[in-house]
Amino acid sequence: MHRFSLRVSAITSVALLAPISVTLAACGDSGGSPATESAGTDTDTQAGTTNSTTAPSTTAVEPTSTGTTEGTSTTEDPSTTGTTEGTTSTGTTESPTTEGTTSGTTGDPVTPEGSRAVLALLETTDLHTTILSFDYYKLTDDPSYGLERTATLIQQAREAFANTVLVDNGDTIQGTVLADYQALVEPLACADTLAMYKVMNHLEFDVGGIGNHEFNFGLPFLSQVTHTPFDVADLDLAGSDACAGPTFPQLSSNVFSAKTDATLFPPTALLSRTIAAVGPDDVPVTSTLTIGFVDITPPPILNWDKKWLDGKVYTQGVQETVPPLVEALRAQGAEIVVAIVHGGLDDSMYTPALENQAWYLAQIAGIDAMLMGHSHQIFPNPASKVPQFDLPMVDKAAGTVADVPAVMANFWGQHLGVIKTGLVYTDGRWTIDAEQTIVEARPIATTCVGGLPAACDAEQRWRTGEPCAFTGMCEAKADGTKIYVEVEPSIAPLVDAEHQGTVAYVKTPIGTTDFEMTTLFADLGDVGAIQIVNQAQADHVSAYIQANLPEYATLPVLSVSAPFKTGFAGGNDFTDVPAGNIAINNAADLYLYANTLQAVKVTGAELHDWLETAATRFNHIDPQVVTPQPLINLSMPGYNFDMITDPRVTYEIDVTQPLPPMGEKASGRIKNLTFDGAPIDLDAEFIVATNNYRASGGGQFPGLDGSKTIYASPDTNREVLIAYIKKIATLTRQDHGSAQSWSFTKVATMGPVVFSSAQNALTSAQDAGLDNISLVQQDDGSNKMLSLYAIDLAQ
Amino acid sequence: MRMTPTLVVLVAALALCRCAREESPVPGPREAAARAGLSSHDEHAPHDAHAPHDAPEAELAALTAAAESGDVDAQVSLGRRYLSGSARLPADVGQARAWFLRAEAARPGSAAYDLGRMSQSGKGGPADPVEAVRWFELAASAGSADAMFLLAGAARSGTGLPRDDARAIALYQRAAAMEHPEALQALALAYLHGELGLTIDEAESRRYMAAAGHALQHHHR
Repeated sequence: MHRFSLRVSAITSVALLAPISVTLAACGDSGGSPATESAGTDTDTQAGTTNSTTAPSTTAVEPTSTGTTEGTSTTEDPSTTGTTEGTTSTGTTESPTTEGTTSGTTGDPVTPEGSRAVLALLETTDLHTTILSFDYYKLTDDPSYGLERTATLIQQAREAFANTVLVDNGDTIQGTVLADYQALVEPLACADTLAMYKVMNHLEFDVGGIGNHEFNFGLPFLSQVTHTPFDVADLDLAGSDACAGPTFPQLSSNVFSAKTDATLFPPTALLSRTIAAVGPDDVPVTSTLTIGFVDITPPPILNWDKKWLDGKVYTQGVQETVPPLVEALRAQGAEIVVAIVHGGLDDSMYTPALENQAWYLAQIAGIDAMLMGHSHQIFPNPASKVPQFDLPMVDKAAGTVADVPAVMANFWGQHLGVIKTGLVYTDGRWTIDAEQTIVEARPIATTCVGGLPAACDAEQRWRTGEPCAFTGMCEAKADGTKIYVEVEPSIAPLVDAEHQGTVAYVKTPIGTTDFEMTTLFADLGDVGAIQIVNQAQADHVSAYIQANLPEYATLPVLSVSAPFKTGFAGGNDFTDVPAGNIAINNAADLYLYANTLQAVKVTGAELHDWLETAATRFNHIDPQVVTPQPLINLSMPGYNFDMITDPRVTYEIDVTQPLPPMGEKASGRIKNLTFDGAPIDLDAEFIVATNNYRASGGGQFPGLDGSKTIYASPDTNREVLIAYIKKIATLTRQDHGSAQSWSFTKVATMGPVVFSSAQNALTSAQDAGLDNISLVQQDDGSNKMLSLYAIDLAQ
Repeated sequence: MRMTPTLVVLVAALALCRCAREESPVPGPREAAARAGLSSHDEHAPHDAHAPHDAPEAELAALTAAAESGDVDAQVSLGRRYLSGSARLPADVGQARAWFLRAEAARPGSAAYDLGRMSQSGKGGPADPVEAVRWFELAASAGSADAMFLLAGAARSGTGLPRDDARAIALYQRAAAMEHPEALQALALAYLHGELGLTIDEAESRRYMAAAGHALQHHHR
């Protein structure tokens, strides 16, 4: 089995020569756990992960020289006493900061004045449990993201740079079905390590920051999986100390227990690392570099995860929190201070609760480098149009904020952030040489242009000078070809059980259907893949209104949805759930997009207009024309063909009426719109369940511009659908697939009215009760595995 | 973010204490733009979804007082209340428009989006797509991602301005850069189906759709 390539051997061999006392503070230290002796890492590692042999030169200790920090803190506003106290770490008392350093240097020569070194800070951020390059809803591989590919970039960086430090910036443990599986479906046991942390332990992350999504599953879960026993009101989390978890320290300096005023996690960490350097005479030298880290978590967690945090936790901002911590780190020997902030850039007026505090953080004295995240952008990026990168003191080409080198590495492992710093040893310490510092965000994927990978320079090197990951991959490739780094093969086996478990979960039946639910003929009247979505949406909205919005409780609740897949890409590009079991991946097929459920209040007239716009899905059919006329207006996508599927509503679509001129409202096609058996009252009010995209103006439906929403659910339409299917359990065509509210106005045409759909699909139409459809041509000539059919509008 | 109730409470608090308000002046257009940009969904009607819970009389009185004394955010807030209407404050498009115009005069960009929507859908007057575009352009210049999204919709459908696919794409991208979920989805769909002159790119489509889903989490969770 391929063993993940470890750090440059020079370092480890030096470390073995000198009797360095190894102390890696276990992440449980923040709760005051017992001594972390040199075997500390072993107690924390799980079978199969790398043990401490590769990390003997690392000492990580929280700088709780409480005398200094508390002294500083008392000069602050008394309400911020918790700021710098951090959490006690017995790791400190067992092995004071300098021990590793002095032992490390016991057998080493003194570093000559003028020595130089290179240190690369590597950043991942917002990984969101995207370990593998795999889409759990589609159950297919997707090479465009995944830590298993970022790992290849990490390995290459470790081989190319003499000295590296690997840092994760949070939003790590939530985001994919895998995360839900481990948190909710098959909750992780205390003795087990989260799949994500297993991989990060294997990759030997040096430090991890806490983001906002860490709190999504609640404090007990977070406490357990990070083996950090928070002391907060109404929860007894002391047992977390004994749980498995990361072998690297996890930091957050600005999230406090309301009960104790201590931070939930250690606020800072100090790493003393043996580094490879060169003396002024170019002779290799080994030295020790001490790096301090401070982390900032976004304060709006108190809103986003209010239900878990209210009354238990409070936050502070960078201006109150960071300066004394930086001072303390320096006092304890930090030669470089790296700020890890789970946030982006914002120069709005500062408040301690500001969501994105990186712009303010960079301006705090003593910060040598900054790792950013949260807003899922790539920085540096000269081509970026993101307004936050055009703020004063931000250089989006060079990658600096207030002259501090800064990087933001996108999300899902799509990029690895690299801050390559030149270090020079003067006056007995290492300092950063700004002129030798280069920042870049390296992608795991790129495109070929002129036979060269676009992400690299003309010599196929990274901006920082090392050979680019894509070297040679674009030879003889057409422009626009997408290329991806290889996966790091040691990753997937580590999490195979969790991956298979998640796949099995996605395939677990949540219900059954006695009919095939497809969009093959959704444009022609088959509601089999639409009605269940409408039923789920309406059911959810009705329940919410009854419980929370009594002022609307008497209004009828309708719903609209559309066929998301209508064959654009070919015969396989249709929603198709066979009769039999329905599983989560089928639900994802029925509801394809990342939408949240919204309900709008509209009048009968506005509903009529809504359906008119939807009806532009069809071309203007001339009954007198004898040659075949295509029915579908391909410039109006199927995902905008909103339809009602409700026994209370009927309407016709008259395709002999023209389409509206450019820029004008659609009209004239919706006939005989009835509600409860009577022509719809144009002034009556209705609640219509839909999604955020439609309600906000997506598709340009008249009057839908965000102003009609009366309920915006945090739940996704897909979640709502899954919950509904579980509730109903047994779907039948009778009850869930035959409410055909709309039909075409009948008209006899001189020639055929034609459309394309999947080949050999006629029985699906017939099963759906569409008797007016016939096959015209087995192959419609598009080369997309489609047949040409005709619909008899006279029937 | 569900900022409207908090904003209302803040406004009420400020109204009751002038000195505090002076110490924290109403942010200028740039700050408002940055705030609007980073939390563009604050302007979004969903946050008005809490208004129907009918805030107490005192709160409404405080809001009105603040609006009358020149608080621009309160003016916009009150305008929206008049637009959506509730049991306590029946809908009044005339009042809504008046408050929006007053806010806009005091701080350009603060109400342009709301005025644009009224023009576009014909509230308080006949629908005027050209005027709607003018308002959305003002709002977009002030950094409103929601306005960029609606303006992109107008550009792609040629409503109130000549159809301009390239401009629609550019607007969607600006809004997307501010994590506007619907703009991200619009781009995802455009890349999937080769709309607006874009070459079909399934990988880009997936990336944008993933970003849309994630952006929704930030704005709603």
